[in-house]
Amino acid sequence: MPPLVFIPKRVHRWLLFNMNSWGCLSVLLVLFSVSASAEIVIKDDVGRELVLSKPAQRVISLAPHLTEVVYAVGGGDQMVATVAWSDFPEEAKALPIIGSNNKINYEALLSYNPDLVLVWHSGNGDGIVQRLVSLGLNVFVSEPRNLNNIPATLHKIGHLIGREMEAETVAQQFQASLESIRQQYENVRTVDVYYQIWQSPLITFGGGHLVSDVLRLCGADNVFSNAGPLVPRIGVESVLAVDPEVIIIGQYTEVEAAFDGWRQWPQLRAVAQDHLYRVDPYLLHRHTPRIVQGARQLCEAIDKVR
Amino acid sequence: MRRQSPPTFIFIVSLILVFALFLGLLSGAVDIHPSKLLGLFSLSNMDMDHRILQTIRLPRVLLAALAGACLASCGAVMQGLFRNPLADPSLIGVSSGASVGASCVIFFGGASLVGSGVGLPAITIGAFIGGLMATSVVYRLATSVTGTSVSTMLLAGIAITALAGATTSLFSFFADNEMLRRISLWQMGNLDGADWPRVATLALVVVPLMLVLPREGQALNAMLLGESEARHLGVAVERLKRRLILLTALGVGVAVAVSGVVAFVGLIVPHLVRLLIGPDHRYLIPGSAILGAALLLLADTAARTLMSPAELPTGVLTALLGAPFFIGLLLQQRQKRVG
Repeated sequence: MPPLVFIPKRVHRWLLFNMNSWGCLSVLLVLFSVSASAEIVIKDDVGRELVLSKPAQRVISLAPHLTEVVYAVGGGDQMVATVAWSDFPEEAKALPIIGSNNKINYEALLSYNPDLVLVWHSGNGDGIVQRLVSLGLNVFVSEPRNLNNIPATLHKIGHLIGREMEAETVAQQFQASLESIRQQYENVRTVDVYYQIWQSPLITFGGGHLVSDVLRLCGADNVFSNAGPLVPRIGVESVLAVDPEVIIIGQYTEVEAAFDGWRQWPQLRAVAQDHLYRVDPYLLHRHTPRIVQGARQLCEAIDKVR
Repeated sequence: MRRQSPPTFIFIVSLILVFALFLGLLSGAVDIHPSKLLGLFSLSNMDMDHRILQTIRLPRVLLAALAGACLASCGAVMQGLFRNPLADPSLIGVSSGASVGASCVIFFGGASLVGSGVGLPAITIGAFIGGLMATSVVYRLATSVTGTSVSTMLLAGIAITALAGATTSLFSFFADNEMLRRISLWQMGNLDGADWPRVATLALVVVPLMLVLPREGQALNAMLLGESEARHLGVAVERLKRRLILLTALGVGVAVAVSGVVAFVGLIVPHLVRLLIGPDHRYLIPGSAILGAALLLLADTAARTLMSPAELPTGVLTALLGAPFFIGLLLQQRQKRVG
């Protein structure tokens, strides 16, 4: 948890300046009581400190998962705009769109007069973060990489928009669900899984990706966790060489084509025993509480091999 | 550097090509014993190693070799035609035109077309038409009654490349994620889509081209002296130029269509060959073809295996090798002019 009491630089200077004319202790006491009720200080995922004088009421999210998180903690009414692909929950589709992940219309963004902009570091890029900061906006940078980051994001965003209680509830539910899945697959045999996100060329997720974390939760092992890049391109031969027990297709489209592609290799254990499954990438590829549903789907599919 | 006699050189590069072919066939994520190569063409054998060789490695190795041969010999011909050592098929806009053609098919065809069985032939035809259109536009711009202006042609090529870049950016702007990925992966130059239909498509163009292009060697040698000198020596210059432009457009268009934009092979290889055996086009063109095949094959094998199990796009590797080479050539030219 971030400190509830924090003396911002501006106030700190004023404090030093007035040190002679006021009694030190009384000033501190007054300040503490004021800042405790008004100031919100959050350290974001890239270590920047964000100070808000009051909970944000006009929020713009620049990533689908951040839009989802705001709605999840009950802040949907505080959203004023978002970017393309922010399609969950249903209400989010009615929000005005001010760009896509890497192209933001800054004029449109400013016209909504946001008091908080939520940014996804690896999705939006550093350039956008710098630009927003230079425009004098309150920017929160999110960079989730594993399942534990999701409740942390819920807490931080909940705090920033004045929804601490709701965030706490959602985070607890999320952690409880995760824990129940974890316990279910704690003592099972580890299964070698190949998770495909595109077939031409073959693209999978590396070990540092959120999905690899979900696979571990299911008692499975991503066969390409050591492949290097976060989202590596691989060859058919590499899959034949590791011979996974289960093939999971997490593609948005052309799922049948992906299945047919692998059925040409009956030498693979997964193909011979027909352990080819599809999962919903909308649930699994976003860093939101909904990933629990995706994780259940994935774990149940993998469990069929045991 | 001591020059080799052309027949010796061709013999040596052929050996290198054979070595590269075997290396390509024997390297990959799955270890395959060399003895398995013996039964490579048996159709009854359903063992996994044989299937890997037959459906993954052999088509890929052949595609790389054919594309390399095609790009390098077209490069050699273009450099003779332009009488400029920096001329590369991509310079007159053929690669860019082909790239736009392919992107058009991906963009307007949509996922349903691209994902279906006719997707690949459609992209191939699109790229080919784009390449030919670019070339004919450049040709019309640069050709007049007084002959072909090389500088206008190069400038027109630059304009076409710029236009192609803008069109692709525009497509990327409107395309959804999936199309975007397809377009960008295709542009990076990749041979990993290699399959027999692609090999057949490329072979259908490259094999006849390899037979036709070396025959123009003598005429290109005459062109090296200058256009009017070539005319005096009995070369039908305008017809020769038209023919060579069409042939290289065809070759480069198809190579780009099946393997993406693989940069710099058309520039590096003819240069190396010229350094080693001199500028006689009768040997330069076949020599470039063989060395080009070997070079792209080795580059592709490296791209497949360096980061195993992940794969690098082949075009990235050739560009990493080729761009410094290109800058070196520019420096050399500059020093020649200054000195």
